[in-house]
Amino acid sequence: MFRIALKNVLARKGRLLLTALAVIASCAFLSGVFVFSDTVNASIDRMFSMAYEKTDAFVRSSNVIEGDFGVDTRGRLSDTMVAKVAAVPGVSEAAGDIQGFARIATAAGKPLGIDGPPKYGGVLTDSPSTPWKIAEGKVPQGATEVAIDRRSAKEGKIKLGDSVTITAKNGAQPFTVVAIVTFGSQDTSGGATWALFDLNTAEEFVVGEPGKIDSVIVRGDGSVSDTQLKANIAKALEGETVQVLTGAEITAETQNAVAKFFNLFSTVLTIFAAIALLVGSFVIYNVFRITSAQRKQESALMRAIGASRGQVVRSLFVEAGVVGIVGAVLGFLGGIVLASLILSLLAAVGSGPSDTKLTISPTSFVITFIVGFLVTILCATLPAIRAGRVPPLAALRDVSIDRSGLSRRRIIAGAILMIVAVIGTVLGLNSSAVWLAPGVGALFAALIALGPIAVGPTTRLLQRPLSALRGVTGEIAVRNAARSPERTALTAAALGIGLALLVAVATLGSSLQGSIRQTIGEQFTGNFAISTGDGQGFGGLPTTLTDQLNELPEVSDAAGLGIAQIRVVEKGTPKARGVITLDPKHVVGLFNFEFTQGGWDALNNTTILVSKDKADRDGLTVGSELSVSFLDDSTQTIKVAGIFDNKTFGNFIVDRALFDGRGVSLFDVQIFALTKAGVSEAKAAAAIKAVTDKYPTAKLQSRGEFVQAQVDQVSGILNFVYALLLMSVFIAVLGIVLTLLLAVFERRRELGLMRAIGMTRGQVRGSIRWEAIVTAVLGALMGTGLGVALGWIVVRALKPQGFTVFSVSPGSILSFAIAAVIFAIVAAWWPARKAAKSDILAAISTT
Amino acid sequence: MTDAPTITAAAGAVDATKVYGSGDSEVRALDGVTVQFEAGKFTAIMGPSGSGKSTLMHSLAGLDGLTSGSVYIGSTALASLKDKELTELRRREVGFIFQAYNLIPTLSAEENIRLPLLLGNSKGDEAWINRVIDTVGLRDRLKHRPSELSGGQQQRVAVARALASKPTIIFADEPTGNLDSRTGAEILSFMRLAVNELGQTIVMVTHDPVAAAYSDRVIFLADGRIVDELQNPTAADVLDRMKRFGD
Repeated sequence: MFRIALKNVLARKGRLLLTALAVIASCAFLSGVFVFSDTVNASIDRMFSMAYEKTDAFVRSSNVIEGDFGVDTRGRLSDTMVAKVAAVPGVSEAAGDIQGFARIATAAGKPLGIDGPPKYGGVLTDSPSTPWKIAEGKVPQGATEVAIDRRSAKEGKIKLGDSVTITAKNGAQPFTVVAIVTFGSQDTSGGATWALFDLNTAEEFVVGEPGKIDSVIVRGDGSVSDTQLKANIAKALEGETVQVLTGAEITAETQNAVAKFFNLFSTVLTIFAAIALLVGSFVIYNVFRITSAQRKQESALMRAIGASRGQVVRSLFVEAGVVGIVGAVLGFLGGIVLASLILSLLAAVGSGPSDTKLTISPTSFVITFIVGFLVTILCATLPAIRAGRVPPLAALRDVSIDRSGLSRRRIIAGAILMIVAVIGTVLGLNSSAVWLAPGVGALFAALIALGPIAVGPTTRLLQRPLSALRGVTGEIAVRNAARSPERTALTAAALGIGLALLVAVATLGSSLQGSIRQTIGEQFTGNFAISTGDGQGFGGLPTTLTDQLNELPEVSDAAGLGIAQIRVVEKGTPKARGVITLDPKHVVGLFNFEFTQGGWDALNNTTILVSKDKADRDGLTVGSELSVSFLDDSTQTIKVAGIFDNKTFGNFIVDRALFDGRGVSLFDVQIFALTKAGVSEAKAAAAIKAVTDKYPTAKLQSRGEFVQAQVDQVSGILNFVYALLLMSVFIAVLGIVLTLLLAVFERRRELGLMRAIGMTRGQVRGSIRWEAIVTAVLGALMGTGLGVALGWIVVRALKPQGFTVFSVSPGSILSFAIAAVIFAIVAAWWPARKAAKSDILAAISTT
Repeated sequence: MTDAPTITAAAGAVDATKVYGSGDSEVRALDGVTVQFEAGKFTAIMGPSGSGKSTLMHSLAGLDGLTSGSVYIGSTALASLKDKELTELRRREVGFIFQAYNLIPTLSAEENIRLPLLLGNSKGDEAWINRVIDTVGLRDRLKHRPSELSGGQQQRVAVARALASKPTIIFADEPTGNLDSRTGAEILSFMRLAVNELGQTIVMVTHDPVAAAYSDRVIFLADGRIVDELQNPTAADVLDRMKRFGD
């Protein structure tokens, strides 16, 4: 029996491949994500092992405050440490290193580098231990010379001797490019930009505090092991607040920190690949359903000549197994192609790893294979059992219309699921959010259960306009879409799920944008905003810019907001906390803040403002004392000076003067400015612009532009999520192709008859195309309904997190629907062509 | 009848030859057939299996091409037509009745009848269609789907559809092959009626002498050639002629 079944499968390679297509596509996305992640991870590893390749030991401050995503802020060392380390036995060379923020801009004022990777300022020496190679020029010396990475040089078309403007802690200054460097053989490391100075210049300009460095890079003389070297240094520096690591340790730590951040990103990708797989499983299930229905006569014949029910079922499982194996293997290969395409695409736009040697791990293959195989078998189970139930007599009957999917049981199941969905949602929104999971799950299940029932009414609704528009071709298309409701509903549901997620994300995005508009509109009352424009957490605008703006006679106040990490002792233990820093002398009239207690007036370098949420949680009131500590290990007790009711400013606001002399490079992430009374906005803008023009990274925006820019930031994230959801939509569209192809095969006699009695090839193609469109419209209706409902649930659930507005985006929904229809037309192309080519004689001749 | 007086044939073939395969496996399905089908007549084509009768009909109807020779419907030679023109010609000028699987399962009886007209976006002659529907006696079955009709009723719908566009010629391929003799006789009577009362032209392929007896003329094919013909045949005449094929 197994041999017969296997022979049967292999004899129909066309059908096998067709069935496998859905498996291939689903697996390709999964393995594509795996291969992409592995490749990027390996490239990160290689990059950092190169960075510290010649480092035998590494000395840095032991003061650290942990931040989010593994990005820690660490204290600095005195540069006198270099000489101390150099004197340790076994050390051949010790060099001070700095890694701070510095943004390069061309002489014309164009900032270089892409959004995402950091913009570093550092040190370049002629030491053999540096990972940098000078491609052209010489090591920079003195306060006006800089070396830049080759990627930046290419982007800004910068040659040796050119002038560049660099913005760092100590303001924006012109420098002369004396060297163009490469990171090993690559233009730069990980897409970052690098401005490298001599040590003194870096201390002064990048750190902003002469005599301070970030680390000491040590090279051994080979007389002792790295571990011994580390021990020697640690012993020599006993009593200092330093931490000593071996080269291998600092390499591993950096690799892990970056990998941790990147793994978050891979997890997001994997989730979207899993969604695509879910959509894919609908398509796979539908394909098995259709092919096993089409083989009803064959199965009946087998039964008639003596095959047992189990044998028929098993033969279908053999087929599913072959489909699963072929699909998973081809899908894995497809994923490799996909990953390399994405990597070269990223390389082409300048982001992504610069070395893209594909890393294909056995684990990704094993996972892809198992998942692909199991999903295929699971999807084939129900159709296989159904095929086993075919009575032998069915061999003699001709079944032309599939009436499945309209049973009373289905209506009842759908209704129950709907009730569960409503109860789950109501409970989830009003008591515990845990209830949302079964609620939303039931909502999806209800859609799938009720889908076939919706096919009839929807197609009837479309019938009139379509037959008016396309005559009998449209009429036939609608009837064909309605002839097998469960099949059409499943195909539409696959598309519907993809669209529902798109619509939900669009609704979430538009609600978030509405909320941002409302919140910022209400809370920010100044006239201008100045930002770096790239929205990065690393670095920012020098605080000197804010000070200069406050000196302008046209400006009444300019508040520069920065972010810093401190430790706050809460319930006896120090916790790392982010705080907003600003100058409390210059906030008047800029923010519309509600204070439940106290206010701005009492904020100074011995006090702190706390949010109402935090104050309520920790039982703080005005006058409460908090013990805080800083990166240089200094501690201070500060008093709560006010409690504010505002969600956009985090939990703590402090005077930036609190950080004076504590070894922290404060930057302003955002500056807000208010025009002095009686000065026209245009005049103030001109005065501000004259200052900001000296800082190439500073972008001046009016209030309206600023609010719009915040709103637009959401659009960027939305587009990224849309792109990821396209995987699911692609598979759903593939589902339309497969369903139609199988339908064309099934209806070949009917198509032949219609061709005989006068249907032109164009009309045949049209009828298939319209059938695809009807399916897409059905999917779009399901997707929109479900998506808006899902969006509403999430927005309501996130109301405490600042989603104050629920807003549906009809423009996005309409464009998704139009896109779905266009995809459907594309999907219909191949089946339509096949249908138009159907052989009239073979179809009508009686066999 | 609206045919021009100079052309009395509704369709015809001149030296029609159809060869399948080549060399040793060459099969001449049609071997130089020249024949005309007079307008307003009911012609039967008979012959043993493999005689080429179906091939002849398919060629005449523009469903299959010839190796050499020509076929025409009305005054149009089919060889010169592109697929689209050929399809539109079938839609306008040709009616079909097949042995089985004649109807589109998703369309009602009435929609099936009007399908050729609908495909051409033409309203058709409403009075004519009503007459056809009444003639085949389907008035009370119009809204039914094919699956809700008996075999005989389905075949009556097929006859009505073939007549609906008032075609130049109707081709019937074993129209009663799947029916019991009583229902079959009913369908043949309708066809006879269509010729006598509605002035239609029908060419029918059959192997049933009883069916052939309904025609005005029987053409006998053997090995791709016309070997004989009978005018106003009776079933006995046909059977008698058929028996001689064995000789």
